[in-house]
Amino acid sequence: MNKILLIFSFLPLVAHAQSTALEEHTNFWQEIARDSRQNPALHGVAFSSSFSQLDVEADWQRQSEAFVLEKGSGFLLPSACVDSYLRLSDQTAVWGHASYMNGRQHSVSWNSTSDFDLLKPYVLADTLGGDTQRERYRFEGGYATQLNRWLLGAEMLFRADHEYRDIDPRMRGIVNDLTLRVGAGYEKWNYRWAMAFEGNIYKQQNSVEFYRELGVIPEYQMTGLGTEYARFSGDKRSMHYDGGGVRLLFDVEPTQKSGFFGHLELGKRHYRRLVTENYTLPLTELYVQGVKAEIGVRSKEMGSRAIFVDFDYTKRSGDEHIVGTSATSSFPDLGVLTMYHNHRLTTSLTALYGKSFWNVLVRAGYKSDRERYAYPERRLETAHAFGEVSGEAFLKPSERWLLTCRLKSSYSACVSDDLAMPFADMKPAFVAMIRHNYDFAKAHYTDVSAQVRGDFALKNYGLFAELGGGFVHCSAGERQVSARVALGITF
Amino acid sequence: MRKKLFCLFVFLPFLAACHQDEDELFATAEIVLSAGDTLNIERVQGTARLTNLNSKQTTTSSDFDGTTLRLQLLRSSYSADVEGILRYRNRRGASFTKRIRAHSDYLALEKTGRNEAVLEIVFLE
Repeated sequence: MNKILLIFSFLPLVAHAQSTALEEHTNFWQEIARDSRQNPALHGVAFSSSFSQLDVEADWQRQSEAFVLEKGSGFLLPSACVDSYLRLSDQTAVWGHASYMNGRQHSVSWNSTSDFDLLKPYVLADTLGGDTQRERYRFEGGYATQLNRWLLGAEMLFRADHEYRDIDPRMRGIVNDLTLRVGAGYEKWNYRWAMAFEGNIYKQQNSVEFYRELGVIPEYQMTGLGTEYARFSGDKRSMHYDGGGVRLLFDVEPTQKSGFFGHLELGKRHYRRLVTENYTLPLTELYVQGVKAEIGVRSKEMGSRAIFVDFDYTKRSGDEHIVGTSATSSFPDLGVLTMYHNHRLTTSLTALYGKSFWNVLVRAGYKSDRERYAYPERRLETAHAFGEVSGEAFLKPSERWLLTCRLKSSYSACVSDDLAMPFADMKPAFVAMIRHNYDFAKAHYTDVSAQVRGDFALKNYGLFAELGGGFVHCSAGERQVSARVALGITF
Repeated sequence: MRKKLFCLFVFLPFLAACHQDEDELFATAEIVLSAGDTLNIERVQGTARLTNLNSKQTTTSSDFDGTTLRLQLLRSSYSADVEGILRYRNRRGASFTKRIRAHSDYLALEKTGRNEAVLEIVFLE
């Protein structure tokens, strides 16, 4: 820690105390306010300056072996984005985001469904897989205003995703994801007390087609930890996902430079998987319930300091429908069994320290991921302890130039792991998939990344270029390299 | 009072709507072999094979008690096959032993607790 502080103290050409809009909108202190900004009422008072940015960027990642087979071994995702936060007055702010991304995901296998992280484990899957093409549109906009002591705000977020493969197996996933948030806050005793409500609607049309009749392979209706809904696996390749959920967010933050801050959110989501041929027949239902809390203290006097703890727990339960039989195509739905259980916990302690032109973040924590399938019993559990040190510096070589440098290093060590599977009763391909994902889930990870951004100020706008790179070493003997480049204007 | 009402309106509907896991996974299935009222079945020696229609997992058992087989199964819909030997007496008291088979494409064994299913016997000789 002292060494890092020493390095930063010798950085040359340093600009003092002049906080730019860019610094305000991107520095580590936003890490503290990241959760509270989800409340649109607080987002309206999060920044004192306006800042807009239009850029084209490309993110590239390649893993020597896919860490998670369902997510693939890498991607190249170029995109064009515009972000804007405008202070219309001292009381009112509007913000928005629009982006279009068109890229490629490499070597995705055991997953023919978009949004794997959201819908896991209830995806369509095959052993072959391949690269997929991804297209994504995002539109977000919000408005917030202050009426005396009251803060009011609302925002809408929309995402449309289209993922497809143009060789067999030709998967296609078309996603519509709409989120609405309304929030309110009240200023009293030098604190802002705020609450927000979020509603979400999610839909996905998902299908897999084969153009070569001789090359048709089964599509499995996965039900978790290498199990499948065998009755509807094989030729049922057209699915529909229907879901959504709600969240309640509570926040408290100081109106002054110093004080305690806290965040609590309760959320639940529900996703149904239906067979399109039998539209009213749900095969599986995924219930996601979570609680997240953060509490800390911050001070921005005589340098900036903050320390906070956070806790994030998510329970995912999966119901499988008991389907009867019928002479017609309408199957009776006889009931449900909760077969899949997943408990995820992440907790960490974070400390931030900064001066006018640099900030350092240190974090240590613990995370666990426990998956269980009820019968025949299957279990996969891992727990990691992790630590992270990050630093950022804002350098000003001349009046017109601003350089932003960021370094991050982290280490995640597996402290316990457990795998129990009825391997003797499993198909060899499923065994290989489970073993692969388990090997990477229980590995230790070392992550180093760096990012440099140069901003050049012109009369009414600015130009910027950003370059970043990262390297992850996995103790399973594999590695990941990533790069990011962005060019754009700020105004 | 206002605070209590606030908690009531905000938290309770949220918590009440939490998903309740359905963890009662198993049912007791009673598979009864029937040959009508005219025969007095004394003993069945055979093997029943029940296939879960949804997961395709199979369960086999030979533990017949008279004409009834009781076993614990995952609640689901099943197909059933029984093959074996049956000893019975007819109305005049004569004893016979015959090979039998019983089959059903669909048995709904989805209820918690006891599920009874009756299979009609087919004599093979």
